[in-house]
Amino acid sequence: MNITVFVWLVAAPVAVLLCIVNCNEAKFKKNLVVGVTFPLKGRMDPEVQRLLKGFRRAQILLCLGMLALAALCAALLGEGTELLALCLWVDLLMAAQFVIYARYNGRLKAVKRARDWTVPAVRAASVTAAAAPVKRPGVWWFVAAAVIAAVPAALDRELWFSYLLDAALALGCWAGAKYLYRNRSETVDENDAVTAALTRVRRRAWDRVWVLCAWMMAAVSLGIWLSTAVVPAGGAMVWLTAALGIGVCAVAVALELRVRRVQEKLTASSGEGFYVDEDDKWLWGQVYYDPNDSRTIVNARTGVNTTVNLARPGGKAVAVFTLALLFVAMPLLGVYVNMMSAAPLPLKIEDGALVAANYGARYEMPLDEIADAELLDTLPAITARVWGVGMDSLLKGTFQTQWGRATLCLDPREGPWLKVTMADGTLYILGGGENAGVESVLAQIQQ
Amino acid sequence: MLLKLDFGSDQPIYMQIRNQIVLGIAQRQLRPGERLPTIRALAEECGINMMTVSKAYQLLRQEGYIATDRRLGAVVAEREEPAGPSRETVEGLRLRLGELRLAGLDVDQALRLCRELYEEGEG
Repeated sequence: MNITVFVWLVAAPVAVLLCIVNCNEAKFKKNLVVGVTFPLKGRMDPEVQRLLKGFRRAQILLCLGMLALAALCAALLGEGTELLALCLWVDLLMAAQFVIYARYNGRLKAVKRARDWTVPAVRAASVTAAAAPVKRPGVWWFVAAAVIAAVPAALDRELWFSYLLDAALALGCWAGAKYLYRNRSETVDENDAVTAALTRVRRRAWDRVWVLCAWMMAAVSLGIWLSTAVVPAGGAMVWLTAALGIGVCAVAVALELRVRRVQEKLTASSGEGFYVDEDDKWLWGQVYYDPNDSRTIVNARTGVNTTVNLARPGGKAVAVFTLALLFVAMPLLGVYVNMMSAAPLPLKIEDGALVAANYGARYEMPLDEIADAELLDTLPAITARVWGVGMDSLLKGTFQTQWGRATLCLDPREGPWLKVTMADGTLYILGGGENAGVESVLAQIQQ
Repeated sequence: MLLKLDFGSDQPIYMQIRNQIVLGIAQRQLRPGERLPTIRALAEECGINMMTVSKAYQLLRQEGYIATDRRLGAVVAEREEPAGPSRETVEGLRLRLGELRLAGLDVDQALRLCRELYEEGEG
C-alpha cells in the first residue's frame, strides 16, 4: 500500500468520528442541544425538533462529502501532494462543521427568544459539590507507565531518545490530568444529587482518558522496541503508531459518548423551576467568552472535553496558536513537504567532498575519508526511522536498516543508489534515479 | 446548596456569597457542623478570585456564622445560644419595613409576608 492511500485511510475516520459526536449534540443533555439551553417544555417544540433534524442531516451530508473528497484525493493525487491535500481537507472539515454548528445554534437561539424561554443570567455554583472531597488517580499510575516506556532505552541504545520521549509524554499525561481540568461542579439545576453524579462521572472519565494515554505511550515504546530491535519489520512502527492512534481515538470517542449518555439520562427531567443557562457566555455555542470568569481553562458544556476562556489573555493565546497551527502552519508545512519531495537529489563532488543535498539538509563526505563506495540495485530492508523524513519519494535522515544505522538521502522509487562507507564505519545511502548522477560520481570517487 | 452570583448586580460578589450562605444556614440547607468548601475550591467553582471568597468567609467568621476547624477547614458554626439580632440586622429590618409601608402594605400584610418568608426557612 502506498503512503497516499495509507494517509487517507487513517484520516478519513476523523470525519466519521466528528459526525458521530456532532450528531450527538442534537440530543438533549444538561438541558442543552446544539449549544442552546431549553426548558423541559421546549424539548418537544416542533420548530426545535425540525431544526435538530436539519442539523443532523447537515452533519451527515458533510461527512459523506468529506469522505468522497478523501477518496478522490487518494485516487487522483500524486505522491508528495498528500500532506498538503490532507492539511487542506482537515481545515475544510473543521471550518465546515463549525459553520454548520454556528448556523443551527443561531436558529435555535432565535426560537428560544421568540418563545421567551431566556432566563436571567446568573452563575450557579454548588457549595455542596465544591465541599465534597475529590478523588483523583494516583501519580503512580503514570510513573509506572513512564518506567515501562523507558525500559527499552536501556536495552536498545540506538533509539533511546524515542523511548525516553515516550516516557516523558507518559509523565506529561499526569500533568494534563491535573492541570487541564477545571475543577468545577456540573451544575444543571438545584438538585445536589444530580450535580454530584454528573461531576463524578465527568471527572472519572477525564482521569481515565489520561491514564489511557499514559499507558498508550508505554505500549508505543514497547512496540517500537519489539518491531525494531527484537523482531525487525519494515514499516511496523508506522502501522503500530497508526493503530494505536486510531485505537485511542476510538476509545476516547466511546468514552465521550458514554459520558454524554449518562448526562442525557441524569438530566432527562431537568429544566423546570431554576436551571442553569449560560448561553450568553458561549459564542456560536462553541467558544467560551466570559470576562467575569477568572479561569483560563474551562470544561466544555457536555461530554468530557476542556476548552479555554477567550476573555482571558491565556485563552486568546491558545486560540491564536491553534488557529495559526490549523490554518497557516499546516498548509505551509504541506507546501514545504510537497516541494521537498519533488526536489531532485543530485550527487556532486565539491571541494574534495561528496555532497548530497535536499531542502534543509546537506551531507558532506570528504573523499579522503571514504573507505568504500559501491552501486546498489536494491535497497536494504529499512526497519525504523530514527529521525528524518520517510515518504514514498524521499527518505532523508537517520534510519535503521538491515546493515545497521545509516544516513539516507535518496529517492527509494528507482535505483541505482550509492552506498558509501566512511573510514569510521558511518554508512550513507544516497541518490536514486537516472538524474542523480550516481554512476558518474562513483567513477570520480574511484579515480 | 446553590450559590447564584449575579455579576451585573451592584452588590459586590463577596457580599452575595455571604448573604446566600447566611440564607442557606437559615433555611437549613447548610447544617451546623457541615463542611464548607475551601477558599480555593469555592473560587474555582465560582470562577472568581480567591481574595473575594476569603473576604466573604472572613465576614461570615466575624459574624459567627462559620468557624474554622483545624482539620475540616471552614464549617457552619453551632449556634447553641442565639444572641439575638445584631444592631445592623435590626436597622436593616427597619429599612425594609419602611419600604414595605411605602409599597402600600399595611401592618397585617407586612407581618403576613414576614411570616411566610420566615417559614420558608423552616422547610
